[in-house]
Amino acid sequence: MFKRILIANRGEIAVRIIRACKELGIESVAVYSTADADSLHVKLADKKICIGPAPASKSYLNIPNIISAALVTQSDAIHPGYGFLAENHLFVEQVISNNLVFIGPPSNLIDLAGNKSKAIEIMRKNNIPVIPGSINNVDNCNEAIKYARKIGFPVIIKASFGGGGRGMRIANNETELINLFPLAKTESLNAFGRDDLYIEKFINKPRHIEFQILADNYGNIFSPGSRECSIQRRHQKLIEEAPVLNLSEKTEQLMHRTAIKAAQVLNYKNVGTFEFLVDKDENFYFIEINTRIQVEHPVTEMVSGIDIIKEQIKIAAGENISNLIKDFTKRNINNDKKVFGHAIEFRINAEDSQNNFNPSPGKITNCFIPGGPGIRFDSFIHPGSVIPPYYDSLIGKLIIWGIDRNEAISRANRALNEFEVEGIKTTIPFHLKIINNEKFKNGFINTDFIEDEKIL
Amino acid sequence: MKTIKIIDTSIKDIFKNFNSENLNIKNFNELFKLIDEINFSSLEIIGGSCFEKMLSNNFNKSPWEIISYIKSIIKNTPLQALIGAKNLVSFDYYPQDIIKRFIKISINHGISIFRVYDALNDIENLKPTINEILNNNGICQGTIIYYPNKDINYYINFISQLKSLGCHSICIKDAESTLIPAKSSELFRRIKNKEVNNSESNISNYNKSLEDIDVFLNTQNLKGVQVLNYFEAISNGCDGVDLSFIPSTYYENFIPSIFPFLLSLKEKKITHNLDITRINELYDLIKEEVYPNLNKNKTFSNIRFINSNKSFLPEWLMVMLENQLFELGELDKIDEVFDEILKIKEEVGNPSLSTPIGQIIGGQAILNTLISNKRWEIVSDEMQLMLSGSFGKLPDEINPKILELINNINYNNNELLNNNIILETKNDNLFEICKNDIKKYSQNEEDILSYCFFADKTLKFLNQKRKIKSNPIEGIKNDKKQELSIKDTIKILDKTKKEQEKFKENIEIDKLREEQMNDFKDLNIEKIREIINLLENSNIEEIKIESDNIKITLNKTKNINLEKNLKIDDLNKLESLDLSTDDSKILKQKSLKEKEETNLKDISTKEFDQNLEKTSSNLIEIKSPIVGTFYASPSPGEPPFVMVGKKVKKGDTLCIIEAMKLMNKINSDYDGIIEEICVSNEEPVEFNQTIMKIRMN
Repeated sequence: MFKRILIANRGEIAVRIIRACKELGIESVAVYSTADADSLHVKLADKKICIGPAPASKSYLNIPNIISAALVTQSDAIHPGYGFLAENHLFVEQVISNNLVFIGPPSNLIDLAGNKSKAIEIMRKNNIPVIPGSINNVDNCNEAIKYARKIGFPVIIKASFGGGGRGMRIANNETELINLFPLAKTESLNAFGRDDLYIEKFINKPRHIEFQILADNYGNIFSPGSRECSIQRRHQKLIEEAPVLNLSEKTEQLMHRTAIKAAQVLNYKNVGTFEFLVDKDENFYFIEINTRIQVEHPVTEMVSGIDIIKEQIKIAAGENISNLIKDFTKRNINNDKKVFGHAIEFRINAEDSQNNFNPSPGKITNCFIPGGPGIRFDSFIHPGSVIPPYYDSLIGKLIIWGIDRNEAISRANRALNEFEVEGIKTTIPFHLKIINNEKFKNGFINTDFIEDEKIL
Repeated sequence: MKTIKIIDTSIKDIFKNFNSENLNIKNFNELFKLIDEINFSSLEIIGGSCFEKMLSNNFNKSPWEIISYIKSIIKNTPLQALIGAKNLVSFDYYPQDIIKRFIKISINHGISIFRVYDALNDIENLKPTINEILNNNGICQGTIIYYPNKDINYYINFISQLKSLGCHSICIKDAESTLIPAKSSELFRRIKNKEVNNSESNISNYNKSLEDIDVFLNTQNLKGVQVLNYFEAISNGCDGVDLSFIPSTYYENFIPSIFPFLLSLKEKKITHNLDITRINELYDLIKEEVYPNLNKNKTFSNIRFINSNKSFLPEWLMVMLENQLFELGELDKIDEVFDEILKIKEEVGNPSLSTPIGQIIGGQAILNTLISNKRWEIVSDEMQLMLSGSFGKLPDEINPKILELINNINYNNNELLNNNIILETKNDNLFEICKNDIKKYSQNEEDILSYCFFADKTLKFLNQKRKIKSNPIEGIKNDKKQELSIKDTIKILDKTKKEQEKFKENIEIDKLREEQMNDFKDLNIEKIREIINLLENSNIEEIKIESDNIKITLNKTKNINLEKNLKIDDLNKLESLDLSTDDSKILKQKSLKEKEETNLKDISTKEFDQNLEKTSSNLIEIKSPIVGTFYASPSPGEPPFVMVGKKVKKGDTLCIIEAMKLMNKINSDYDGIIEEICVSNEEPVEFNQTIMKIRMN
């Protein structure tokens, strides 16, 4: 086991990792920018070291300073948290070449997962379902129809060199495709100077479902379960739940096995998340891999009883998880869902949700953190703490556990109403709106939920 | 009186089943000596998963070195290898070039007999490999996998074909333990022409020629009928059998089948020329040295297989499936998967479950039972390749329903992807690619071949080997450094420590430090400095230096349009700089640069200005712009750059801060007098920490 770990991150995740280190009896080293000198992670860690000025590019993204900090503090390993350098394979290479352990997957896996089209290609070759598409460019309308017939309507025509929604057209049938294809070609040529197009199955109002993976260095791969992350605003997740809801047990199990198979195909190591889109008919498609600990990991922890961060550290230190798998299986052998209860996480951001989600940094003059049964708050805030404007607006995660989803929602309602933060604006009022929405209560959610229900 | 030939496979089985933690080849010297004296006709030392197992040993010898080592002790008995015609010792199909190299190297290392099989019994697969063996003057035993549903003529025909290809002997291998004694007796009676059958007289004439080629039988004892099969076979003309001291499942009071077999020969007109005394000695040795160290695998002896004489899955396949199902958390479904394997086998033209076909069918069985909703909903790429004939001709017809099903479901894959996959598996440049992959580790042909077969394990092995080589010196140096720096760290982090204590400690530490710096100096400080000078005086923007233990990247402040990457493989070869432009590396470094705005080169005077703070009217605090270790002097033993009271001018060097083995000079931007040096030599400094105070003139 490691003697000392440097945490190359800040905020709630740095605090979360330091707490895990303390429980494992490992010394922790906090790094901080001059703007974070009084932040909670600096106070909780056994050692601290300043790595640069306030801008993240000069501190939390400063590879030489972070590695140098790990070397001068005699740390054995670096935990990257999420964001910042967590998925930078060049950073991982530097960590390794300085004889330090990187607590995360090997650099080649990070590199591969970062290259989405390559990752999807590998999955396709291994018969993991991916969004069906033409793979190559489609030259003319006849070819487009040929592919569309195979894939099935509706299809989406996309510009190979495009982005930001331009050049994208949705065709619901052949007539539409015939009409829209030349249009998309011209549009693409005008917008991007190239008229290369490809077509893909259009998945209307999908759900975003992901599986947590734990994999040790000895080929043991295991998933403690699924997460539902469909409540998103501009592709940013806001509420996450575990386990998934309104999904047939058969599909969930099939997805579970597929996620494990995908991890096996890649010979996955450490922790990661395999993300899928699921359509109304429960067809599911692999979209990407997150090669890091995720913001929403606590919901899985709450229902599985597994401390994922601690396991992540143990895996990096070379421990075998076969006993963890056995214990988990034994514990849940008589439980169909294989997890216990239901958990929901609310991301509390320093944002003014009533005012276009404008960032709201500043000093928290006072606050009241809710408590009582089933409440967990992962955060770094306290009365008097300052939210600097330089970094992510996430100030904490309110995680609610209940014996079922109904109990979790009523608890969440209670806790969000108790919650008070003075001095800055937060997303708490926004969350209250969502959990009082009837469709949300009944579990009818998809990635368009916030827009469709006009909760803004 | 006929003398039966007996091949022993114990050495191979030891490698396969031994608990690798306790495995050390040197402990087997006695065993090798004894086994050599018994007079076996040959010893099978390679085969199955054995090569892979040999790679993950912990006594620092490659499989090839192990073979040479065994050969150096076993001088009398020929050594033998069991290989797949196309897949050799691994799972993939390899190009002819690899096969050629493998045979040649194996012979060079001491293998003289090759037992060549093809899982599909496809003569076209066997032909090139057999030719290769014969061209290299190897002895070739053509091997036929036993298929219970084939009639005897199939075997007679096959043996004739192998004989005409030039095989020195033949082996019938009962890979799935489906052979029963009555079949053994019939098979050899007909092959060896012991029975004149009038109705098939033409065949009797035809196979007269088979009397003069040795035909061996190989079967396992998974169903307990091994000796019965052997007895029937040799009674009817079989020339030799395989035996082993190593059981697939060990239990207490286990008796190797060599003993009942030799007993069965008593008072028969068949003899053997083994040395019984030596056999007993060997058994005693193995009982003591080997049995306690065998892997305790689960017992698979599933009685249903014996009752119905179903194909017994090869042992390695069972282990593989058990592991996979365990990972999926579906271990309780193992029987279902076993049954599915046999079902698939029947549907896809009844191939044998030998490597690599066993893996393919096993994988498909998991897909069919556990992953997909209904059977054959998802079809693995390998299975598609097999069905399309890429691995050779399947022994029986494929069930047309399966073909239809697959074509319907996998339209996408078939049309768009299959071509690519086939190309990938038949890559003729494989050897060159592998050679390039491991160029940092080894250019030895043997290691490259191992890498072709098992890339990950070979890399791990080569890495381990390199570590052991360079470890002794490294270990000592690191210990010393650690001892020192912990003291330093405590010192810097515990700021309440009294000044006086600090002073005393400094004297002690300085002594140690001097020693350490000397070590450091011997290594490369001077050379690094040379390189930095070189860089400063050149048009080169970045230098990346890699040697066994060190990796250094140097960046220069100036933005020069010309991009070059200077790579120095060995610090000692400084004179002969290897100028190479490698696009990918430049790209990497570029993106790295984009990602970190604060790179080492940023320690310019501008940055420095920001870190200066006027505390009083003319007292300036100089703060560290980076995280690292503070050095007061250019190298140990030399006087420090500055001392308290010394005058400094703009541009004078104040100190060095080492970050990631790179020495960064910190220069003064002001004229003045050093008022205070706030850190002591070799102390770690964090960003923004005050290192010196200068009183401006």
